[in-house]
Amino acid sequence: MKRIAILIATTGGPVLVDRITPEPAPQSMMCLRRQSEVLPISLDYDDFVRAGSGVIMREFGPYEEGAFRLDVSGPIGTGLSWQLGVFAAHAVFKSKSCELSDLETADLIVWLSGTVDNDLNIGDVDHMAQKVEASAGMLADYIAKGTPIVFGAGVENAAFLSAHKPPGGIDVASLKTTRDLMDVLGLGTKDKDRGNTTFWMMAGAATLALGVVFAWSGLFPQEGEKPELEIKIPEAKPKLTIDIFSDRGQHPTYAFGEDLNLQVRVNRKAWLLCDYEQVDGKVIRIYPNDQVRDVQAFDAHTDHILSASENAPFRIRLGPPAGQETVTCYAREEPFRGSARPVNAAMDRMRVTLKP
Amino acid sequence: MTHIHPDLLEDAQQRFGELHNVREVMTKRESGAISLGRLYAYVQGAQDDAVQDILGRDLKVRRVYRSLLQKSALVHMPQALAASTQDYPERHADGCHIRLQASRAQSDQLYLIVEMSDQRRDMPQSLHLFGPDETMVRVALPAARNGVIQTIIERNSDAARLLGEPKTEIFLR
Repeated sequence: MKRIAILIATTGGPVLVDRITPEPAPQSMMCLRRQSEVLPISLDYDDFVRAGSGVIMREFGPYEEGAFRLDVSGPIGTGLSWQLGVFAAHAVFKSKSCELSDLETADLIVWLSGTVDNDLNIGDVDHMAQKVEASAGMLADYIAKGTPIVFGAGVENAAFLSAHKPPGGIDVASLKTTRDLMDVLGLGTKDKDRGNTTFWMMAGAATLALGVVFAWSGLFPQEGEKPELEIKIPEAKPKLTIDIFSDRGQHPTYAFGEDLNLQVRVNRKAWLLCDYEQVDGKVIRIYPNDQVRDVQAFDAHTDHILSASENAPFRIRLGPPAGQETVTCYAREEPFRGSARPVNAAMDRMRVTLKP
Repeated sequence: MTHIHPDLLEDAQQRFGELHNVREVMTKRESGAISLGRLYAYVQGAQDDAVQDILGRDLKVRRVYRSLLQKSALVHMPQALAASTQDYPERHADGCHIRLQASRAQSDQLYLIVEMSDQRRDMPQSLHLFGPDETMVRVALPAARNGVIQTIIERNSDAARLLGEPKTEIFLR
């Protein structure tokens, strides 16, 4: 079974389609991180699914249940550019040859942005540059890992992406109709003609050989600059890695009012940067912060307690709302500059469950 | 001297009780007291953490709130007369049907479904539950689509507990 991770591109970063479940309810709903929080676009999703107004039940139905629950990894604000990703996710869900995947174990990552009309034509959308910029940090890890990645978009959007020469490991698919999308997913007629050696497997192998890392400036250079790709050949020394955890493990649960225990270990001396993403999607830089006077590189092979101990440089007290929040820490051998989320850095995440 | 007809005695007692509660809430001088105007605004849908907090701990304020709500609610479902064999009894009144449906995806969550038979009428924006123990919960509702309002609540929430209790009084505002 081929495992496909579907990413919906947003200006706030890529959002993974985590799960689709048929539900015996009147309306389809889009929910955040398997929690009870319903996204504001949920009614639009219901329209997109519903027979008559939408295309999902018409193309992939009938289903015994009247509706779906679609869980995503992050917030999706407004607009309709999620439709292409949602259509792809339902195609994968319906298929017997592939299944929805997380990013870590995916055989293929498909990054999508576009609308799908009633005749299954794919429409172009705005803010493509911001969406790619917001995705760069996350996708760099999977390019380095060798997972094949496809950027799929409407014809003009795809031309825009191709013109800026995406790095090796990313292929751009120009999608006129959903039939083109099905070919990308390996669910169309073209893919069946191709035999066992798929294009994407070859693309993946080529990517793995180089260990390419891309930066935003390389992917979308400023006007007048020559497009270039930042390529770093890995050195002989081991790759920098970072592990974050708490004294309650890697997926800790905290009650309101408790202090977050955050510990970090790196395999080489490195500078750190940590973000905390709240249930509402707001991201707070928790390290470095105002309470840390002396920001220095962290020694290798030592458990450094960042938060919630007597010797810790600061303390984070947790409070409502309940739900799943995420700590993301980045490590680099040079100091971090600026406040943007780094793209070429080792990274680890810890999910924190908050309960009243 | 005013004479009250014996048939109206119970009703009159309730009204006097409500008036007494209103006066007490309005004239309260201790810290943390709130004005009746703020309470009324909250009934009308305003967000107010202080009102929410005092409603959670002051029974008299809750009673005043309930009487204000009774006058402006779109739908009122009094306590159900018959006991139900279901975990979550369905409730009907005034062209409105409220039910809970278990989620297949998340066993700890429930769909709260409000169906309005007349789509031309004003659609409710909040659900107010008053338990037999005089606890109270307010649930903000999303916009209606084709007369259906659907949201998700936690199975272990106070709202789910009160909706599972036939004696819970329900207002839709």
